[in-house]
Amino acid sequence: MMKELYTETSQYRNWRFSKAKLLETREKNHTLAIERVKKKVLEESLLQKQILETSSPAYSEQTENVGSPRVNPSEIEYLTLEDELALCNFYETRIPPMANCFPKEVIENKLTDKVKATAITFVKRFYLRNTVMDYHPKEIIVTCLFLAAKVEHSFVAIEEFTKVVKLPKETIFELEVVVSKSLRYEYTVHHPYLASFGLFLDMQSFIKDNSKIKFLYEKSLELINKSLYTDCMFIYQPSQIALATLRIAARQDNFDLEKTYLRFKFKSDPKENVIELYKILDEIESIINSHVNTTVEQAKSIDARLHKCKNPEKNPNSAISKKRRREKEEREEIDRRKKKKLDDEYQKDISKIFD
Amino acid sequence: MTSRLTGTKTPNGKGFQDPDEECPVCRNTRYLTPNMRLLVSECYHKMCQSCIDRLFANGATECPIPGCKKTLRKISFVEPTFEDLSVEKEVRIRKRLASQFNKRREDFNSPKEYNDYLEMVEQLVWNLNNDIDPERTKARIESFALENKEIIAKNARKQSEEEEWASRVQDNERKKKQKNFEEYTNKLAEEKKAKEAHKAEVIELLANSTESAKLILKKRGIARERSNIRSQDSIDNDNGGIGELWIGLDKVSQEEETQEFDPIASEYMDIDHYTLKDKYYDTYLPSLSQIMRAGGYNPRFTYERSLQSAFSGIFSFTKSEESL
Repeated sequence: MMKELYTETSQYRNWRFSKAKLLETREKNHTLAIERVKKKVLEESLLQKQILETSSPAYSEQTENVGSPRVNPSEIEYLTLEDELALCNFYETRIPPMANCFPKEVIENKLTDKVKATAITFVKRFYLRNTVMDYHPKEIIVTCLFLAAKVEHSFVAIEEFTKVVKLPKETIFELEVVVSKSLRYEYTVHHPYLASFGLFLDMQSFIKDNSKIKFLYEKSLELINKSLYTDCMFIYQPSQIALATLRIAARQDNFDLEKTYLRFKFKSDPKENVIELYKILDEIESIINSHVNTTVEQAKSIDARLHKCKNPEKNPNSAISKKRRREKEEREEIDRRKKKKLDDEYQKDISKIFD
Repeated sequence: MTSRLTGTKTPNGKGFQDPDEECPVCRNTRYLTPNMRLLVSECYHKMCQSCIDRLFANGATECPIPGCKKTLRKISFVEPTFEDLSVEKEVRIRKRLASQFNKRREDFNSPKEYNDYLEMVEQLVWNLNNDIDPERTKARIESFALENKEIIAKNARKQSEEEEWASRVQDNERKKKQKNFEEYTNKLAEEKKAKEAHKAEVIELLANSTESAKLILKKRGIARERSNIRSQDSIDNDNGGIGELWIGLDKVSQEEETQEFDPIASEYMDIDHYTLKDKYYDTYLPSLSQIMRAGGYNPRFTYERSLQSAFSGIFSFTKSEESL
């Protein structure tokens, strides 16, 4: 039995889940993340207490600008998995508006729908293995858009990029590596757009009304854009999503796609396969129809709670990261001194020769 | 034992040879021609290099040993590893079979099946070694190789991976040892230097100071002891493990990484469900310009790719147990 080519794609091999497995993966990642952040928060609060107790003037100055909020670690209310997903969803929906802030010629030539879709996919894949408590999505979406433009062969220079988005380029570069690693360096994403175009062409062999086909195709593209915010990409194949969106478009238009097209298409396939396919098409349809994006108000309230339970280690002003930096500096200082001592001794040895 | 002690080294330096050895074809002994090379044929008969050159100068002929009718070629002669040819034969048979019969314990569901498999391999080795029923044995080996093609390839890959891993471990260990040794010698040199400096200091003090010699020696002695201890506490606690070699790669990707691409096994199923037309109603693709045509572009390529994409994986259903 020969394989089909699509089974070799990284999308199929590593980014395809059953519904249950997807939930399990997310839950596992979430519980692990909370445990880790809890530990760091505790460490942070202990450090802050220490700083307060040592009332030496050098330290009291530092406590002034400890950036992380000082709260009792046992009182922190952590985000639930639903909160995290809702927040991610909100920021994913911000990607197209963000891309639309660019100059007109950049939008038309570079930041196409495909680039935006790839960026959204990257964000979704990234948060499959990361948490908003470590990396805030407002920075990740910018990085993902920048990366997606590169991946889809429509590179936008970083100078042009930072003119529009308010994020220093160092941050983007830094996060780019983090994101790439979480994506396991698997950048190629297969979207339903191409498949949808294929259906647009194929329908022409069965349906004579070209303007109708065009109408359905354009409608289905809109639905594909909407499907990006759902979990369809993790569960179904691009071709299945494309066909499902076409079916929704036809249904909304009271056009009988079944009689005019689908019936001829799958008449020679095994019956159980066709039944299964229709089941999947129905599933995708219900997922897309029932999906509601997070509103600004919801996102704001989650964001406010997120502010209290961020991982202090990622905050450059927190006591814990200060301590880490200090430790690093001390280590470097020791190394430096050691080296200097060796150098000095060597110099001494040399000068002794001439004594 | 005596033959070993008085024996000469083989040309390739692998072992010792019996000085009384003789070539069964020309009866030439090692005593007379010390640099005689005895090689072994496919049918496990020994003969010397000059006999081989003489007999097989005109291509393949029958084995010169009476009773053996095997057709041999010059190229099929090899230097034996073992003096005892029955051992040589069995080792070679096992080596040959091992490349095919490389199933592992984890490929079987129960210990019994595994044991049965091992038993079968032993039986095959025995048959081959004693020339029992050679045709059927050969057929059995071939049918096994054909049936288990995939497992054999997989295990072969696994084995080479393990070998690589082992060599890496070894390499690391060697490097670590070397590092430790260097550190140790450095430390020794430092200590020696420190001792000398201390001695010079004491002598200088003894010469210039007005204090009593005993007191000076006592004071210096304590300081010296302290410095000795201090120099010892810098034992670095690196866990120089092999783990760091694989950083960033989890278990899954590690396996992927080492999967080789096999061009022969990589033929793919055709995508059907569509027929490509010559002309489509299309307002989306840019019109065919001269530059595009010069580059060999034809909109048909895009059409075909789109159509393939529309139907590839359309019947792929992710079941909960097979997903990642």
